[in-house]
Amino acid sequence: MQTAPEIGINELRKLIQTISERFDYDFSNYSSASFKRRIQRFIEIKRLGSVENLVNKIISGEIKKNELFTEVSVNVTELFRDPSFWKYLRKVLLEQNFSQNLKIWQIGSSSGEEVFSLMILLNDLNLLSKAEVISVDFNAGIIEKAQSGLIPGKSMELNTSNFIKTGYKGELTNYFTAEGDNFKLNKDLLSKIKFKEINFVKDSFSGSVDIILCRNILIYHNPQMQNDILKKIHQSLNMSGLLILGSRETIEWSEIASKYTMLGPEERIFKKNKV
Amino acid sequence: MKEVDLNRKYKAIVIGGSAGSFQVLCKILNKLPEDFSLPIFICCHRLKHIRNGLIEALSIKSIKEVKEPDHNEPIKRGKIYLAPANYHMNIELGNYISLSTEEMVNNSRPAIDITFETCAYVYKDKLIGILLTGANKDGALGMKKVKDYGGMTIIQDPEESVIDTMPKAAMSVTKIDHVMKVEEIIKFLIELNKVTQL
Ligand SMILES: C[S@@+](CC[C@H](N)C(=O)[O-])C[C@H]1O[C@@H](n2cnc3c(N)ncnc32)[C@H](O)[C@@H]1O
Repeated sequence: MQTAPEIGINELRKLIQTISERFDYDFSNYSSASFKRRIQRFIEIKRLGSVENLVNKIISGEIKKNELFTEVSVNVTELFRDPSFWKYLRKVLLEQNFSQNLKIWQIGSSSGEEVFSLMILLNDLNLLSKAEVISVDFNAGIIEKAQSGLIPGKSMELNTSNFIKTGYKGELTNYFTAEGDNFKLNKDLLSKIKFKEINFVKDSFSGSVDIILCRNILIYHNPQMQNDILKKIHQSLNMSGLLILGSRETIEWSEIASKYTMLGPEERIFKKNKV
Repeated sequence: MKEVDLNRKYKAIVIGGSAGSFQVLCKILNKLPEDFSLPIFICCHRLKHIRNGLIEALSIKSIKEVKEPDHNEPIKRGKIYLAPANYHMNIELGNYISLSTEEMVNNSRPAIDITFETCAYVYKDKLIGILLTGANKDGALGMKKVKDYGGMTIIQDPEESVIDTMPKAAMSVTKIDHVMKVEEIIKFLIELNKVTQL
Protein backbone atom coordinates (compact mmCIF):
# COMPACT_ATOMS: atom_id res chain seq x y z
CA MET A 1 0.00 0.00 0.00
CA GLN A 2 1.32 3.41 -0.97
CA THR A 3 -0.14 6.84 -0.52
CA ALA A 4 0.56 9.33 -3.28
CA PRO A 5 2.63 12.31 -2.18
CA GLU A 6 0.54 15.21 -0.94
CA ILE A 7 0.18 18.03 -3.47
CA GLY A 8 1.37 21.30 -1.97
CA ILE A 9 -0.61 24.51 -2.21
CA ASN A 10 1.98 26.26 -4.36
CA GLU A 11 2.25 23.35 -6.78
CA LEU A 12 -1.51 23.32 -7.05
CA ARG A 13 -1.66 27.05 -7.78
CA LYS A 14 0.98 26.69 -10.46
CA LEU A 15 -0.94 23.81 -12.05
CA ILE A 16 -4.25 25.68 -12.02
CA GLN A 17 -2.58 28.72 -13.52
CA THR A 18 -0.99 26.62 -16.28
CA ILE A 19 -4.28 24.92 -17.11
CA SER A 20 -5.98 28.28 -17.22
CA GLU A 21 -3.35 29.73 -19.58
CA ARG A 22 -3.06 26.75 -21.89
CA PHE A 23 -6.55 25.31 -21.83
CA ASP A 24 -8.60 28.38 -21.00
CA TYR A 25 -10.38 26.81 -18.07
CA ASP A 26 -10.22 27.95 -14.49
CA PHE A 27 -10.24 25.24 -11.84
CA SER A 28 -9.50 27.60 -8.97
CA ASN A 29 -13.03 27.38 -7.63
CA TYR A 30 -13.28 23.62 -7.78
CA SER A 31 -13.73 21.68 -4.55
CA SER A 32 -10.15 21.44 -3.53
CA ALA A 33 -9.95 18.00 -1.90
CA SER A 34 -11.49 16.09 -4.76
CA PHE A 35 -9.69 18.14 -7.43
CA LYS A 36 -6.38 17.23 -5.80
CA ARG A 37 -7.33 13.55 -5.85
CA ARG A 38 -8.32 13.72 -9.53
CA ILE A 39 -4.95 15.26 -10.34
CA GLN A 40 -3.10 12.69 -8.25
CA ARG A 41 -4.96 9.96 -10.09
CA PHE A 42 -4.10 11.47 -13.45
CA ILE A 43 -0.43 11.65 -12.47
CA GLU A 44 -0.53 7.98 -11.47
CA ILE A 45 -2.34 6.76 -14.58
CA LYS A 46 0.01 8.66 -16.87
CA ARG A 47 3.03 7.77 -14.71
CA LEU A 48 4.13 11.38 -14.53
CA GLY A 49 5.66 11.13 -11.09
CA SER A 50 5.03 14.71 -10.01
CA VAL A 51 2.89 17.79 -10.45
CA GLU A 52 5.92 19.55 -11.86
CA ASN A 53 6.14 17.01 -14.67
CA LEU A 54 2.46 17.39 -15.35
CA VAL A 55 2.84 21.16 -15.60
CA ASN A 56 5.81 20.79 -17.96
CA LYS A 57 3.97 18.36 -20.20
CA ILE A 58 0.98 20.67 -20.42
CA ILE A 59 3.29 23.50 -21.45
CA SER A 60 5.13 21.37 -24.01
CA GLY A 61 1.83 20.25 -25.47
CA GLU A 62 2.40 16.57 -24.72
CA ILE A 63 -0.70 16.46 -22.60
CA LYS A 64 -3.84 17.50 -24.41
CA LYS A 65 -6.79 19.30 -22.93
CA ASN A 66 -9.22 16.47 -23.59
CA GLU A 67 -7.23 13.70 -21.96
CA LEU A 68 -6.78 15.77 -18.83
CA PHE A 69 -10.40 16.95 -18.70
CA THR A 70 -11.82 13.49 -19.25
CA GLU A 71 -10.03 12.33 -16.13
CA VAL A 72 -10.59 15.41 -14.01
CA SER A 73 -14.22 16.19 -14.74
CA VAL A 74 -16.91 13.78 -13.66
CA ASN A 75 -19.74 12.85 -16.00
CA VAL A 76 -21.48 10.07 -14.10
CA THR A 77 -25.22 10.13 -14.53
CA GLU A 78 -28.21 7.78 -14.62
CA LEU A 79 -31.75 7.74 -15.94
CA PHE A 80 -34.00 8.74 -13.03
CA ARG A 81 -31.02 9.26 -10.74
CA ASP A 82 -32.41 9.53 -7.19
CA PRO A 83 -35.82 7.96 -7.89
CA SER A 84 -37.45 9.57 -4.84
CA PHE A 85 -36.65 12.96 -6.35
CA TRP A 86 -38.35 12.08 -9.67
CA LYS A 87 -41.35 10.78 -7.80
CA TYR A 88 -41.61 14.04 -5.94
CA LEU A 89 -41.02 16.18 -9.03
CA ARG A 90 -43.95 14.49 -10.71
CA LYS A 91 -46.15 15.39 -7.75
CA VAL A 92 -44.94 18.99 -7.76
CA LEU A 93 -45.53 19.40 -11.49
CA LEU A 94 -49.01 17.97 -11.15
CA GLU A 95 -49.84 20.51 -8.47
CA GLN A 96 -48.56 23.53 -10.40
CA ASN A 97 -50.96 24.98 -12.86
CA PHE A 98 -49.01 25.71 -15.96
CA SER A 99 -51.28 27.81 -18.10
CA GLN A 100 -48.87 29.01 -20.75
CA ASN A 101 -45.70 27.66 -22.16
CA LEU A 102 -43.13 26.13 -19.92
CA LYS A 103 -39.50 27.01 -20.38
CA ILE A 104 -37.03 24.57 -18.85
CA TRP A 105 -33.24 24.57 -18.63
CA GLN A 106 -31.33 21.50 -17.72
CA ILE A 107 -27.74 22.43 -16.89
CA GLY A 108 -25.07 19.72 -17.23
CA SER A 109 -26.32 17.47 -20.02
CA SER A 110 -23.60 14.91 -19.50
CA SER A 111 -24.54 11.93 -21.69
CA GLY A 112 -28.21 12.96 -21.61
CA GLU A 113 -29.77 10.70 -19.01
CA GLU A 114 -31.21 13.50 -16.90
CA VAL A 115 -32.85 15.39 -19.74
CA PHE A 116 -34.15 12.09 -21.19
CA SER A 117 -35.76 11.31 -17.84
CA LEU A 118 -37.30 14.77 -17.87
CA MET A 119 -38.77 14.24 -21.35
CA ILE A 120 -40.28 10.95 -20.28
CA LEU A 121 -41.88 12.63 -17.28
CA LEU A 122 -43.20 15.59 -19.31
CA ASN A 123 -44.62 13.19 -21.87
CA ASP A 124 -46.33 11.24 -19.13
CA LEU A 125 -47.88 14.43 -17.73
CA ASN A 126 -49.00 15.60 -21.17
CA LEU A 127 -46.80 18.66 -20.86
CA LEU A 128 -44.59 17.94 -23.82
CA SER A 129 -46.39 20.21 -26.28
CA LYS A 130 -46.19 23.13 -23.86
CA ALA A 131 -42.56 22.71 -22.91
CA GLU A 132 -39.41 24.15 -24.39
CA VAL A 133 -36.44 22.20 -23.05
CA ILE A 134 -32.85 23.39 -23.35
CA SER A 135 -29.98 21.22 -22.18
CA VAL A 136 -26.54 22.77 -21.80
CA ASP A 137 -23.05 21.47 -21.16
CA PHE A 138 -19.60 22.91 -21.73
CA ASN A 139 -18.18 19.67 -22.97
CA ALA A 140 -18.78 19.50 -26.73
CA GLY A 141 -17.88 15.83 -26.92
CA ILE A 142 -20.40 14.81 -24.34
CA ILE A 143 -23.16 16.90 -25.90
CA GLU A 144 -22.66 15.00 -29.12
CA LYS A 145 -23.13 11.80 -27.19
CA ALA A 146 -26.28 13.11 -25.55
CA GLN A 147 -27.63 14.27 -28.89
CA SER A 148 -27.37 10.75 -30.28
CA GLY A 149 -29.98 9.70 -27.70
CA LEU A 150 -28.13 6.47 -27.09
CA ILE A 151 -27.94 4.74 -23.72
CA PRO A 152 -25.55 1.81 -23.36
CA GLY A 153 -27.38 -1.47 -22.84
CA LYS A 154 -25.19 -2.38 -19.91
CA SER A 155 -26.52 0.56 -17.88
CA MET A 156 -30.15 -0.39 -18.50
CA GLU A 157 -30.37 -2.63 -15.45
CA LEU A 158 -29.67 0.27 -13.08
CA ASN A 159 -31.82 2.64 -15.15
CA THR A 160 -34.75 0.25 -15.11
CA SER A 161 -34.42 -0.29 -11.39
CA ASN A 162 -34.48 3.49 -10.89
CA PHE A 163 -37.50 3.82 -13.16
CA ILE A 164 -39.43 1.19 -11.21
CA LYS A 165 -38.65 2.99 -7.96
CA THR A 166 -40.13 6.23 -9.29
CA GLY A 167 -43.47 4.44 -9.41
CA TYR A 168 -44.20 5.69 -12.92
CA LYS A 169 -46.49 3.51 -14.94
CA GLY A 170 -45.43 1.70 -18.10
CA GLU A 171 -42.13 0.23 -19.11
CA LEU A 172 -38.94 2.19 -19.53
CA THR A 173 -38.14 0.36 -22.77
CA ASN A 174 -41.32 1.77 -24.31
CA TYR A 175 -39.51 5.08 -24.61
CA PHE A 176 -36.50 3.54 -26.35
CA THR A 177 -35.69 1.49 -29.43
CA ALA A 178 -32.99 -1.16 -29.30
CA GLU A 179 -30.05 -0.36 -31.58
CA GLY A 180 -27.26 -2.90 -31.42
CA ASP A 181 -25.88 -2.85 -27.87
CA ASN A 182 -27.61 0.43 -27.15
CA PHE A 183 -31.05 1.85 -26.58
CA LYS A 184 -32.06 5.00 -28.42
CA LEU A 185 -34.54 7.50 -27.01
CA ASN A 186 -37.61 7.71 -29.24
CA LYS A 187 -37.49 10.46 -31.79
CA ASP A 188 -40.61 12.31 -30.63
CA LEU A 189 -38.87 12.94 -27.29
CA LEU A 190 -35.30 13.40 -28.51
CA SER A 191 -36.17 15.91 -31.23
CA LYS A 192 -37.78 18.22 -28.68
CA ILE A 193 -34.55 18.77 -26.76
CA LYS A 194 -32.35 21.71 -27.75
CA PHE A 195 -28.73 21.04 -26.84
CA LYS A 196 -26.35 23.95 -26.41
CA GLU A 197 -22.65 24.12 -25.75
CA ILE A 198 -22.37 26.68 -23.01
CA ASN A 199 -20.11 27.18 -20.04
CA PHE A 200 -22.65 28.13 -17.45
CA VAL A 201 -20.08 29.68 -15.16
CA LYS A 202 -18.22 31.78 -17.70
CA ASP A 203 -20.47 32.56 -20.64
CA SER A 204 -23.17 35.14 -20.40
CA PHE A 205 -26.40 33.30 -20.57
CA SER A 206 -29.73 34.56 -19.40
CA GLY A 207 -33.41 34.17 -19.99
CA SER A 208 -36.75 34.00 -18.30
CA VAL A 209 -37.16 30.42 -17.35
CA ASP A 210 -39.78 28.51 -15.37
CA ILE A 211 -37.74 25.53 -14.24
CA ILE A 212 -33.98 25.18 -13.92
CA LEU A 213 -32.43 21.82 -13.15
CA CYS A 214 -28.85 22.20 -11.98
CA ARG A 215 -28.10 18.84 -10.44
CA ASN A 216 -24.69 17.56 -9.41
CA ILE A 217 -22.72 20.53 -10.65
CA LEU A 218 -22.49 22.60 -7.49
CA ILE A 219 -20.98 19.53 -5.92
CA TYR A 220 -17.72 20.08 -7.83
CA HIS A 221 -17.38 23.68 -6.73
CA ASN A 222 -16.36 25.59 -3.63
CA PRO A 223 -18.77 27.82 -1.68
CA GLN A 224 -17.79 30.94 -3.58
CA MET A 225 -18.55 29.43 -6.98
CA GLN A 226 -21.69 27.80 -5.61
CA ASN A 227 -22.86 31.24 -4.64
CA ASP A 228 -22.00 32.69 -8.06
CA ILE A 229 -23.80 29.92 -9.94
CA LEU A 230 -26.88 30.26 -7.76
CA LYS A 231 -27.00 34.02 -8.27
CA LYS A 232 -26.83 33.49 -12.01
CA ILE A 233 -29.65 30.98 -11.92
CA HIS A 234 -31.67 33.30 -9.73
CA GLN A 235 -31.49 36.08 -12.31
CA SER A 236 -32.89 33.88 -15.04
CA LEU A 237 -35.66 32.23 -13.08
CA ASN A 238 -39.20 33.58 -13.27
CA MET A 239 -41.23 34.42 -10.19
CA SER A 240 -42.63 31.22 -8.68
CA GLY A 241 -40.19 29.31 -10.86
CA LEU A 242 -38.55 26.11 -9.67
CA LEU A 243 -34.87 25.66 -8.93
CA ILE A 244 -33.88 22.02 -8.73
CA LEU A 245 -30.58 20.83 -7.26
CA GLY A 246 -28.89 17.50 -6.64
CA SER A 247 -29.88 15.51 -3.58
CA ARG A 248 -27.10 16.87 -1.33
CA GLU A 249 -26.89 20.37 -2.77
CA THR A 250 -28.63 23.36 -1.26
CA ILE A 251 -29.12 27.12 -1.50
CA GLU A 252 -28.59 27.45 2.25
CA TRP A 253 -25.59 29.69 3.12
CA SER A 254 -25.82 31.42 -0.27
CA GLU A 255 -26.97 34.95 -1.02
CA ILE A 256 -30.22 33.76 -2.56
CA ALA A 257 -31.20 31.54 0.40
CA SER A 258 -33.95 33.83 1.68
CA LYS A 259 -35.56 34.22 -1.73
CA TYR A 260 -36.74 30.63 -2.04
CA THR A 261 -38.88 28.13 -0.24
CA MET A 262 -37.95 24.48 -0.26
CA LEU A 263 -40.92 22.34 -1.22
CA GLY A 264 -41.16 19.29 1.01
CA PRO A 265 -38.69 18.16 3.62
CA GLU A 266 -36.24 16.12 1.61
CA GLU A 267 -36.01 16.69 -2.14
CA ARG A 268 -34.12 19.72 -3.35
CA ILE A 269 -36.84 21.60 -5.21
CA PHE A 270 -36.90 25.31 -4.35
CA LYS A 271 -39.64 27.68 -5.39
CA LYS A 272 -38.78 31.31 -6.01
CA ASN A 273 -40.76 33.52 -3.66
CA LYS A 274 -43.03 36.25 -4.95
CA VAL A 275 -41.82 39.64 -3.82
CA MET B 1 -7.09 3.56 31.60
CA LYS B 2 -3.51 4.11 30.48
CA GLU B 3 -2.00 7.59 30.48
CA VAL B 4 -3.57 9.62 27.70
CA ASP B 5 -2.48 13.03 26.60
CA LEU B 6 -5.52 15.14 27.39
CA ASN B 7 -4.45 18.20 25.56
CA ARG B 8 -6.62 21.19 24.88
CA LYS B 9 -4.98 21.73 21.51
CA TYR B 10 -7.32 19.22 19.85
CA LYS B 11 -9.86 20.74 17.49
CA ALA B 12 -11.67 17.80 15.89
CA ILE B 13 -12.36 14.08 16.06
CA VAL B 14 -12.76 11.70 13.16
CA ILE B 15 -14.24 8.23 13.60
CA GLY B 16 -14.38 5.37 11.09
CA GLY B 17 -15.73 1.84 11.10
CA SER B 18 -17.54 -0.77 9.09
CA ALA B 19 -18.79 -4.24 10.00
CA GLY B 20 -20.01 -4.19 13.59
CA SER B 21 -19.25 -0.53 14.17
CA PHE B 22 -22.83 0.63 14.21
CA GLN B 23 -23.51 -0.66 17.73
CA VAL B 24 -20.21 0.81 18.90
CA LEU B 25 -21.08 4.21 17.46
CA CYS B 26 -24.47 4.09 19.14
CA LYS B 27 -22.82 3.39 22.48
CA ILE B 28 -20.35 6.23 22.07
CA LEU B 29 -22.91 8.79 20.93
CA ASN B 30 -25.27 7.73 23.66
CA LYS B 31 -22.72 8.63 26.34
CA LEU B 32 -21.33 11.77 24.79
CA PRO B 33 -22.06 14.82 26.96
CA GLU B 34 -24.47 17.32 25.48
CA ASP B 35 -21.92 20.10 25.70
CA PHE B 36 -19.25 18.14 23.82
CA SER B 37 -17.45 20.97 22.08
CA LEU B 38 -15.35 19.51 19.24
CA PRO B 39 -16.86 18.68 15.87
CA ILE B 40 -16.98 14.94 15.17
CA PHE B 41 -16.80 13.50 11.66
CA ILE B 42 -18.03 9.96 11.24
CA CYS B 43 -17.51 7.78 8.21
CA CYS B 44 -19.17 4.42 8.40
CA HIS B 45 -19.63 1.92 5.58
CA ARG B 46 -23.24 1.42 4.66
CA LEU B 47 -25.50 0.15 1.93
CA LYS B 48 -26.12 2.19 -1.19
CA HIS B 49 -29.65 3.56 -1.55
CA ILE B 50 -30.49 3.13 2.11
CA ARG B 51 -30.72 6.79 2.64
CA ASN B 52 -32.06 7.46 6.05
CA GLY B 53 -31.92 4.38 8.26
CA LEU B 54 -28.49 4.94 9.71
CA ILE B 55 -28.84 8.61 10.50
CA GLU B 56 -32.17 8.10 12.22
CA ALA B 57 -30.94 5.18 14.24
CA LEU B 58 -27.84 7.09 15.33
CA SER B 59 -29.83 10.22 16.17
CA ILE B 60 -32.15 8.26 18.41
CA LYS B 61 -29.21 6.88 20.36
CA SER B 62 -27.39 10.19 20.50
CA ILE B 63 -28.09 13.01 22.92
CA LYS B 64 -26.73 15.34 20.29
CA GLU B 65 -28.07 15.75 16.78
CA VAL B 66 -26.28 13.74 14.11
CA LYS B 67 -26.30 15.40 10.74
CA GLU B 68 -25.59 14.24 7.22
CA PRO B 69 -24.04 17.38 5.78
CA ASP B 70 -24.90 18.91 2.44
CA HIS B 71 -22.17 19.92 0.04
CA ASN B 72 -20.26 23.01 1.22
CA GLU B 73 -21.81 22.95 4.68
CA PRO B 74 -19.96 25.12 7.24
CA ILE B 75 -18.52 23.20 10.20
CA LYS B 76 -19.88 24.16 13.59
CA ARG B 77 -18.47 23.53 17.06
CA GLY B 78 -19.79 20.46 18.79
CA LYS B 79 -21.70 19.14 15.79
CA ILE B 80 -21.67 15.53 14.66
CA TYR B 81 -21.42 14.92 10.92
CA LEU B 82 -22.07 11.55 9.30
CA ALA B 83 -20.89 10.87 5.73
CA PRO B 84 -24.05 10.44 3.62
CA ALA B 85 -24.69 7.23 1.71
CA ASN B 86 -23.00 7.11 -1.66
CA TYR B 87 -20.88 10.27 -1.20
CA HIS B 88 -17.32 10.75 -0.08
CA MET B 89 -17.09 13.28 2.75
CA ASN B 90 -14.14 15.69 2.54
CA ILE B 91 -13.07 18.26 5.10
CA GLU B 92 -11.85 21.44 3.40
CA LEU B 93 -9.57 24.30 4.42
CA GLY B 94 -11.83 27.25 5.26
CA ASN B 95 -13.92 25.30 7.76
CA TYR B 96 -16.47 23.53 5.60
CA ILE B 97 -17.34 20.07 4.34
CA SER B 98 -17.49 19.06 0.70
CA LEU B 99 -19.04 15.93 -0.76
CA SER B 100 -17.98 14.10 -3.90
CA THR B 101 -19.20 11.27 -6.05
CA GLU B 102 -15.91 10.05 -7.49
CA GLU B 103 -15.20 6.36 -7.90
CA MET B 104 -15.16 4.15 -4.86
CA VAL B 105 -12.01 3.90 -2.79
CA ASN B 106 -11.31 0.51 -1.17
CA ASN B 107 -14.63 -0.59 -2.67
CA SER B 108 -16.37 1.99 -0.54
CA ARG B 109 -18.22 5.27 -0.96
CA PRO B 110 -18.09 6.90 1.50
CA ALA B 111 -14.48 5.85 2.03
CA ILE B 112 -12.99 6.18 5.49
CA ASP B 113 -9.54 6.93 4.05
CA ILE B 114 -10.89 10.00 2.28
CA THR B 115 -12.56 11.51 5.33
CA PHE B 116 -9.51 10.78 7.50
CA GLU B 117 -6.97 12.07 5.00
CA THR B 118 -8.76 15.34 4.27
CA CYS B 119 -9.38 15.81 7.99
CA ALA B 120 -5.69 15.28 8.76
CA TYR B 121 -4.68 17.77 6.08
CA VAL B 122 -6.91 20.45 7.61
CA TYR B 123 -6.49 19.83 11.35
CA LYS B 124 -2.87 18.55 11.30
CA ASP B 125 -1.70 17.74 14.87
CA LYS B 126 -4.98 18.95 16.34
CA LEU B 127 -6.91 15.89 15.20
CA ILE B 128 -7.82 12.66 16.95
CA GLY B 129 -8.50 9.69 14.66
CA ILE B 130 -10.47 6.73 16.02
CA LEU B 131 -10.84 3.54 14.00
CA LEU B 132 -13.37 0.96 15.12
CA THR B 133 -14.18 -2.61 14.20
CA GLY B 134 -14.40 -3.44 10.52
CA ALA B 135 -13.97 -6.12 7.89
CA ASN B 136 -11.64 -4.43 5.39
CA LYS B 137 -8.58 -2.22 5.21
CA ASP B 138 -10.29 1.08 4.51
CA GLY B 139 -9.17 3.64 7.09
CA ALA B 140 -5.66 2.26 7.59
CA LEU B 141 -3.98 4.77 5.27
CA GLY B 142 -6.21 7.48 6.66
CA MET B 143 -4.91 6.72 10.14
CA LYS B 144 -1.38 6.89 8.76
CA LYS B 145 -2.09 10.41 7.49
CA VAL B 146 -3.45 11.41 10.90
CA LYS B 147 -0.21 10.18 12.48
CA ASP B 148 2.03 11.71 9.78
CA TYR B 149 0.49 15.11 10.49
CA GLY B 150 1.09 14.70 14.19
CA GLY B 151 -2.44 13.84 15.29
CA MET B 152 -3.46 11.19 17.83
CA THR B 153 -4.42 7.68 16.67
CA ILE B 154 -6.75 5.39 18.59
CA ILE B 155 -8.08 1.98 17.57
CA GLN B 156 -10.74 -0.13 19.13
CA ASP B 157 -9.13 -3.09 20.88
CA PRO B 158 -8.96 -5.85 18.23
CA GLU B 159 -9.91 -8.36 20.94
CA GLU B 160 -13.15 -6.56 21.50
CA SER B 161 -13.86 -5.87 17.82
CA VAL B 162 -16.48 -7.97 16.07
CA ILE B 163 -14.11 -8.14 13.09
CA ASP B 164 -10.58 -6.93 13.69
CA THR B 165 -9.31 -6.56 10.11
CA MET B 166 -9.69 -2.80 10.13
CA PRO B 167 -7.97 -1.87 13.40
CA LYS B 168 -5.24 -4.44 12.70
CA ALA B 169 -4.62 -3.01 9.20
CA ALA B 170 -4.14 0.42 10.75
CA MET B 171 -1.67 -1.05 13.23
CA SER B 172 0.38 -2.55 10.43
CA VAL B 173 0.85 0.73 8.54
CA THR B 174 1.30 3.30 11.27
CA LYS B 175 1.97 3.91 14.93
CA ILE B 176 -1.14 3.62 17.04
CA ASP B 177 -1.06 5.79 20.14
CA HIS B 178 -3.78 3.99 22.05
CA VAL B 179 -5.64 0.71 21.86
CA MET B 180 -8.88 1.14 23.75
CA LYS B 181 -12.03 -0.74 24.56
CA VAL B 182 -15.27 1.09 23.76
CA GLU B 183 -15.79 2.01 27.42
CA GLU B 184 -12.31 3.53 27.49
CA ILE B 185 -12.96 5.51 24.31
CA ILE B 186 -16.09 6.93 25.92
CA LYS B 187 -14.27 7.79 29.11
CA PHE B 188 -11.49 9.40 27.11
CA LEU B 189 -13.91 11.59 25.15
CA ILE B 190 -15.64 12.72 28.34
CA GLU B 191 -12.30 13.60 29.94
CA LEU B 192 -11.13 15.32 26.78
CA ASN B 193 -14.26 17.46 26.77
CA LYS B 194 -13.36 18.77 30.22
CA VAL B 195 -10.09 20.21 28.95
CA THR B 196 -11.23 21.39 25.52
CA GLN B 197 -14.19 23.16 27.13
CA LEU B 198 -11.91 25.54 28.98
C1 LIG C 1 -21.82 14.86 -12.93
S1 LIG C 1 -22.56 15.45 -14.41
C2 LIG C 1 -24.23 15.62 -13.87
C3 LIG C 1 -25.20 15.21 -14.94
C4 LIG C 1 -26.67 15.32 -14.56
N1 LIG C 1 -27.03 16.69 -14.28
C5 LIG C 1 -26.97 14.45 -13.38
O1 LIG C 1 -27.16 14.97 -12.28
O2 LIG C 1 -27.01 13.24 -13.52
C6 LIG C 1 -21.97 17.11 -14.52
C7 LIG C 1 -22.02 17.67 -15.93
O3 LIG C 1 -21.99 19.08 -15.83
C8 LIG C 1 -21.14 19.60 -16.83
N2 LIG C 1 -20.62 20.88 -16.35
C9 LIG C 1 -19.81 21.10 -15.29
N3 LIG C 1 -19.55 22.41 -15.16
C10 LIG C 1 -20.22 23.03 -16.16
C11 LIG C 1 -20.34 24.39 -16.56
N4 LIG C 1 -19.68 25.35 -15.92
N5 LIG C 1 -21.12 24.69 -17.61
C12 LIG C 1 -21.78 23.71 -18.28
N6 LIG C 1 -21.70 22.41 -17.95
C13 LIG C 1 -20.92 22.07 -16.91
C14 LIG C 1 -20.08 18.52 -17.01
O4 LIG C 1 -19.49 18.58 -18.30
C15 LIG C 1 -20.88 17.24 -16.80
O5 LIG C 1 -21.36 16.72 -18.00
